[in-house]
Amino acid sequence: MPTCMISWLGGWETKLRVHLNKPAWLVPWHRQSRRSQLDPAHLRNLIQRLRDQKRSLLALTETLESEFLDIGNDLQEMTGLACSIGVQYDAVLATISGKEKDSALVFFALLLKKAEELILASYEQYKHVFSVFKEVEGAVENAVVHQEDLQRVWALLPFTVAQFRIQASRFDAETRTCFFILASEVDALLASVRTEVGHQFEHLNETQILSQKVAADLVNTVIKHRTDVLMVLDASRKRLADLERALADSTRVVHGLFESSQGADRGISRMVMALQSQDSARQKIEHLCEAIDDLEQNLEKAANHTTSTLEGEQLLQAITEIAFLQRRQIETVFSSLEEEAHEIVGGIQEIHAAMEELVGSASRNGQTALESGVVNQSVTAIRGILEISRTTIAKADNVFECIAPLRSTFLAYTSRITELARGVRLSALNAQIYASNLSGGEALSVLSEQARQVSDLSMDEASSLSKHLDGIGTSIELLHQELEGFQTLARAEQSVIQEEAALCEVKLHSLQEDLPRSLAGMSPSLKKLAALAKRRASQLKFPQMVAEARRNAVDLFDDLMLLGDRDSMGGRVLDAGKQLDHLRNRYTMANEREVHENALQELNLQAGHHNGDADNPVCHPATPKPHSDQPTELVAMAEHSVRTSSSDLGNNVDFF
Amino acid sequence: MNNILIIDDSQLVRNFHSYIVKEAGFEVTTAVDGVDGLEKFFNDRFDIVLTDINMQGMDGYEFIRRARQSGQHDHVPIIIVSTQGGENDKMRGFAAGANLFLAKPSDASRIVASIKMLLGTTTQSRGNSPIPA
Repeated sequence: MPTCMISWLGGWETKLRVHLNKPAWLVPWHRQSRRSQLDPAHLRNLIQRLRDQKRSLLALTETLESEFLDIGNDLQEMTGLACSIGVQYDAVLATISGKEKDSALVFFALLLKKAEELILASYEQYKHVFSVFKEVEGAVENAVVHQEDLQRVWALLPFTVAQFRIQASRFDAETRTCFFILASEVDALLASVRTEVGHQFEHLNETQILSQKVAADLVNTVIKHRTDVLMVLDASRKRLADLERALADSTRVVHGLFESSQGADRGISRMVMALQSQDSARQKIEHLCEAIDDLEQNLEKAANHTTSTLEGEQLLQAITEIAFLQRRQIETVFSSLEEEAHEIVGGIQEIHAAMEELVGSASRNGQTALESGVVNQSVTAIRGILEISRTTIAKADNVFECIAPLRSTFLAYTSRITELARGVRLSALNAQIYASNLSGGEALSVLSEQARQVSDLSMDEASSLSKHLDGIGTSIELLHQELEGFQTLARAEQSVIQEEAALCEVKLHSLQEDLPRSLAGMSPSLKKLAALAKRRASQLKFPQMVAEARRNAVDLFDDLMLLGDRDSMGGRVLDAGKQLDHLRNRYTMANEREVHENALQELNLQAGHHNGDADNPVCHPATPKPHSDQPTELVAMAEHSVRTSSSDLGNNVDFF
Repeated sequence: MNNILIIDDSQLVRNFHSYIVKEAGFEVTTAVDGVDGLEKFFNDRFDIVLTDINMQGMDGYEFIRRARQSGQHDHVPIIIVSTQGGENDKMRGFAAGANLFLAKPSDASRIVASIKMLLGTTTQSRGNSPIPA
């Protein structure tokens, strides 16, 4: 027995002794009429009933302990199942809501983004291609102008060559032959270059027409491609939004299920809180048993006492008053136990109801979690994106093919003009050398000089045209390189997109299959938890035992209360009642003790002041015993357990 | 792994506390009263003690007083988990040498959080609070 209890009992016994030692004239007159209650047989019967009551209370304690242990074990299993259900929910949520980086939704969105980036990059390339085509077009126009200039320059050459022949005919045969050969060479070269350049220009014109056509075709193709791409991308975005919406719906469904499962958590929490009261209930019943022991001893004394004595009357009065208080304590103890029973039964019912509901809805929602149409449409959209990226690359190939011949045409054209200029210049130089060695060859020298000047002009024209065309050639070359780079990157990108699209499809299909399976897979745990709650509910015996024990205890203490005169308890009992009410509001044993000790002190003081006053008997042993105070704590705890939420429990933590 | 000593004369409470503390990733040793608790406390190394107050034989106050008097394990935090949650009880517990006072009934997460707080760790060794609070 705790030391505080011993000191309490000690105090109580002192009061009892003081009470018993009061002079006879202090006892109220009306108590004299209750001698029938002092019948030893009646008292023995009450003693026997007290003993039975104690045995019954101890048995109840044992049953409570054993049954609460069983409930505790079941609760552990329930908690394990609830936790496992929680983990399964988390996994399903993670699958749906894309918490993980590789979720199907995120994958789809990334794929779409990559495809968009690839297409945007291809548009940039097209822009560049168009600008180069524009440049080519301008260059061809310029080349035509240059060609006309050249033709004008070259128109001088036949005249110069004719003059050359006329002048050469004045000289001897050898000289004449030599200059004629030179003139023929220039003629031949000019005729050849004119023909060739003419062809080239024709080809250039054709190229210009071709490039214009290619550019026009390309524009049309790009516009059509762009329309197709925008359509596919728009459709893909819609599919992505549909998928997102479907997944959000599924998430809401799973959240709904999760919220329903909170019922099980609440039930478990209620049970956990209620179960913890068993410890204090046990202590309180033990204390009640100690009070029964005291009552039994006092009844023994009363049974062995002469019934006619005043002392016996006083003893019975004291027992009555103790019984009165103990009866209220019993009410409180059993009220709190019934409250706990209510909480445990309620908790189990809440778990069972939540699980039964969840079993149905998990399987129901599993079937509709993700409509197959959404996944199939998403897969089609992914394939559309893939096709777009393929055609984008193919279009770039076409451009590549068109640009390559342009480049070689320009290069051939400039080289031929340069060749002509060099040839004419060489012939002019040779003619000038011959002419300088001839006496009277000044005219030939002048003509050679003219031919050289024509060649210089041709060289200049050819050089500027060449530079111009080289610039175009460089642009084309750069475009060529750029397109090659783009092609390489685009092919690599397309290969990645293809791989990711395949993965995305797999993920979408697994999502479609896994989600209902995962939701349906939760059913066994839910069913098990529901069955466990049902079994536990059917095995609960203690609520009935508590109700029965309460009836018996109340009957017994009602009979004990009839031993004395309740009316004479008057103010003291009222005070004690108030103290009990006060204790009910403050639910700790320490507070009870404090109130009890204060009450004792007050009663001691009253005894000191009023000793000898027959109308105001003091030092009453019925002052709340330490152990008899216990039930108020239990009540408060029961109320506490019912009302307390986890956040309120935070108030219970005190730091040192 | 941290070792927790749980002292309570109620088997149900011992089971309950053991379960939640184990689920939180700690090792557990249980004792049925203050005497049993003292014997285990001095024969083994514990990182935290959870003790009830009202126990047959040696009560929780006496256990704490004797544990602290020895001076051997002053650093080991002691948490009182008791139905007696009045100011006087708390003061008595703290005067005896307890570090924290939790009133019963207490939810699982509160007990685990208190242990972790006293151990100076916020990481959870395994899972969350085992019992929904």
